[in-house]
Amino acid sequence: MTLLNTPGRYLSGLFLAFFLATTSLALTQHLPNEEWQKLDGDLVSVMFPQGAEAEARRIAAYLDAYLPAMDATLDAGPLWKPFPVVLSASSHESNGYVGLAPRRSYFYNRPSSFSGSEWLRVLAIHEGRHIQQFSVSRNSPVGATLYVLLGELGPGFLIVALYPDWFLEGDAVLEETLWTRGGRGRMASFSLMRRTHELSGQRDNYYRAYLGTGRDAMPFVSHYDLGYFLVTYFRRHYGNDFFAEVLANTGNSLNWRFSRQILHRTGIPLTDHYQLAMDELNALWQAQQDSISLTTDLEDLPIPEADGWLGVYPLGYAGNQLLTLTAGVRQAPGLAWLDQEGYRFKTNAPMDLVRSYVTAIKERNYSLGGDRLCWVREQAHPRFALASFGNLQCQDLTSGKVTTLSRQEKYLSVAVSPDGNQLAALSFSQDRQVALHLLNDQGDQMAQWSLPYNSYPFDPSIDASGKRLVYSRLTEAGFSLHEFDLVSGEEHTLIAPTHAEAIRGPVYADRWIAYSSDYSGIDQIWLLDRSSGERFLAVQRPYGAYFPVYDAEQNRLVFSDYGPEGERLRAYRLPEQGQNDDWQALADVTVHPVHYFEPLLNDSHTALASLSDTELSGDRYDVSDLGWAEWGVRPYSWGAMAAGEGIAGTVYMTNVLDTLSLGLYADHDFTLDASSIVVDLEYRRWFPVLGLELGSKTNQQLDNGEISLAWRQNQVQASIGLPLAWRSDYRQHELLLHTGLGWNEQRSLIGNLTDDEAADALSLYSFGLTYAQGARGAFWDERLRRFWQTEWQWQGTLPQIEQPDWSRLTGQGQWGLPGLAANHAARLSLSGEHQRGSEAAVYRASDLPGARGYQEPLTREIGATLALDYRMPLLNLDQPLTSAIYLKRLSLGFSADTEWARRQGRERQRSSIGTTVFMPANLLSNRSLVVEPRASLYYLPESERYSAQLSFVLSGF
Amino acid sequence: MEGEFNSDGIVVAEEIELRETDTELEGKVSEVNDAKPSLNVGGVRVVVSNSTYRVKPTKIGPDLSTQRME
Repeated sequence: MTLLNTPGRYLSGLFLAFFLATTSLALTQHLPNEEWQKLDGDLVSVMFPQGAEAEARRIAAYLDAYLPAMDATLDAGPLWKPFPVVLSASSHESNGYVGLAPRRSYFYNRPSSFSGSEWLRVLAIHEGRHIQQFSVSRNSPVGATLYVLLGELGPGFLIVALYPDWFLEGDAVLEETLWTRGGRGRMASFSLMRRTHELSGQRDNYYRAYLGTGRDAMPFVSHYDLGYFLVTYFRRHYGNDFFAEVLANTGNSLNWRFSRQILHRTGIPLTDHYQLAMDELNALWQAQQDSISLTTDLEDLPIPEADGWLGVYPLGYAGNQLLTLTAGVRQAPGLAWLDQEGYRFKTNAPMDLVRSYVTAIKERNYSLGGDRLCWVREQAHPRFALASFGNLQCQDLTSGKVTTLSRQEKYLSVAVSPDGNQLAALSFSQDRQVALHLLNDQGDQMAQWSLPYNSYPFDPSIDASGKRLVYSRLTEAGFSLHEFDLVSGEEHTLIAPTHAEAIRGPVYADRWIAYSSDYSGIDQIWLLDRSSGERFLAVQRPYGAYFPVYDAEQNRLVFSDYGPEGERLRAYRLPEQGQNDDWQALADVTVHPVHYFEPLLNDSHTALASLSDTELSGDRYDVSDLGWAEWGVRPYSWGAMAAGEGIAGTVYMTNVLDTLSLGLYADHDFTLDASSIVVDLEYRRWFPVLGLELGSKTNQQLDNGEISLAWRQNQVQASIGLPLAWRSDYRQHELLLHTGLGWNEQRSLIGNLTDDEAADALSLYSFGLTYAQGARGAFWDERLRRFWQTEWQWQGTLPQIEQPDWSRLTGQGQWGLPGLAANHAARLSLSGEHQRGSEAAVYRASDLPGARGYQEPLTREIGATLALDYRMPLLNLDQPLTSAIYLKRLSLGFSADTEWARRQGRERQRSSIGTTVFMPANLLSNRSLVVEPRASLYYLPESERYSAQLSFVLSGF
Repeated sequence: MEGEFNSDGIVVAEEIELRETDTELEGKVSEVNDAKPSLNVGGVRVVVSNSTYRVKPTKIGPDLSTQRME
């Protein structure tokens, strides 16, 4: 409903209702030809595509086994039903989530080693815990009341506003650790950044450790590991049911805030608990570190010039040159050669390939052989993003040319032979079949061997002869190490499956196989004697050592050594024969893991964690095809308002597979005795996204509080759009094409519309195109520094229908450029429009951005605006204002705009120069709820005036 | 509100940042007579005016309201 109520203002001539395609880049659908089925477990329903029944049965069996067991520590009450679980088998991503509006959980297919155990089991426990957490909110008195009033947004509001993210995720990580023999709580790499930060005396306060300023000593702060440690700390000290009591009262008692509940129950503020927990962990980690005999005979390799955290990772040797991957808080990810002359920058690297090096995942993505560097790139279908793939790509390091060797394959990782002529690639299919493929340099398959079903092989590496492959594997039984003969197809196990260590990054190193393992409690470099199979702890570092590569010319290992400033390259020379005296044989190694969860383990955990997958097969469940009800929509949010002379209500619905959305709005104005109704529909199952909006709305003009004019607007808008997104080299691309038709008319209810306003119904058309591309840079970058986008829109009345002739073309372009210093960003924007029409009254006011600092845009037939922005970091604030607002940092911006317009032969031009202070802040101690107040001051040279402006940008809803 | 299995803070922001679609609420210090304060609550825009308020569904894209050119 449009309110035009400013006294003294003229009501417009003709009220054009512009339909603009409503398509946004919502690509989260599966391929439309997937046939979906449903399986009803005791507690949840699992939706799955045909062919994934065995996995769906296991998921249901896991949830039926684990949900009741886990409920003892949360007391969630009845599970929120139905809570559909969708097995997104076609995805090739390692993740999962639980969400509301509509409520559902998605399980993505691809395993990863960071789970430390069988993928679907860990996912079922982690996401199952989130379903329980959400059920607590739904079952609480306030949540139940809000649900009646607002639908799922009611309990959702409680979760966002009152449950800290660190609790939601930390609680789930603790459960996944307790109820399996793996889980992130058992893995040394999970605590790597926080442990290093703590032991090097850099402890942040609670708010910064949780929310971060965006410019922290680490590349990013993680609420996952912080939450795991805090939740474990509270349960160790205050009992297993501590959070059941805290949540039962959060939002439902006088001490309604989560942190107040903790204070109320313990007498100690949450911020102090954080310090106590870190003190406790500090003692444990320090004792662990004190037990290490550090390896000292190491050579420090040079690092690129750096300021702040920088990770440097060795990828492999070509002669005496080492290819490295670097990523820092001030440096964008890139590949660089290191030789005696120092570093030579080679090319940019995509952040999605770099993440497994920088984060706790610590998996190897790149493989170097000859003059080729190869990797597996996760690529989603450009339209249906839930169908994703792992494709082989190789870069010729001489020419720089990148070649994609596969299309829509499900590869996990790849190893290149030393001469670059052969590739050994590991794959994981939609139905969890696992294989090793031997390919020639063009990517053509020469041989294929099956590996165990549902296993996760990773970090492959080929020996100097090109005939043997070594790789790590994760299964339900744990991590193992294997060698594969690429000629005979025979495999033998070098290290049997175990949950006692995470085995990663194996490489051949002359007589040895070097790898990284946290057997001792910290990830260190180990050596396995290829002839005897004996294992030795060879290199010990204080925090963690990863990604060994072998330098054959100097018979040494080069690896990444983690420290407070990031990851540095160290070299360790191997003995020409025999072993070094300071190596420790496996049997002699002092095992000193910090398993903070261990006091919480009980027999129930152990019993369920030991149940094998075959014991949890879920054979008893019935399978049925997905019926119309599941494809259809279910209301997830609604609301009603009554105010003054009117009432209004809304209902929103979307189906679980995200293919259909429906919005309904209705109101009734008692003064006018008139009603409005709007129906908005979007269908996203097929390539084009179809939109339809039907509306009959009342509008009014108020003068001095009295209705001077009221009219009804009837409207039909139909749109069709095609959103696409894809990755190329190191950039992300997004494209949206859309077109639509609309019809609109107005009729007077009170007062009289002018002839122009009311005379004719209008039939309108619209075409639009938006394209954007950009790449993530350094962690501290203020905004994208490599970026451009353009947007074009054509609108007009349909020709050959008796109505005013009108059309408009608008275009915008933006270019993001690096600033003058690291992390600074510049942006140049150009926008313009051209309107033409048979009647001046149909011209529309510009909705393109004008020169900043002015109140109204210049209306125009032809016009353009040129704007230049510059944004730079100023300082870290790190200031909590009560517990509800956390001020993160200050950034400074400068702008220079000029705007030109021509209207009925009259030209106008104006400009502004401005400066803006940005101050992003977290609201309600929520990581994703960020408000950015902006204070701007503009100088307007034509009028020699100043204009001040305050604005707020909200994100995270 | 979503509970994820893995969020490392690196990749998630990439798609969002390409298109700056955050909700902006503006209140201008100078020339405030034209400001129409509004809030966006769960997809429902609550528009506050001098004497009354209404709700209407909103979506990505420019507002449908129009006005006469000066």
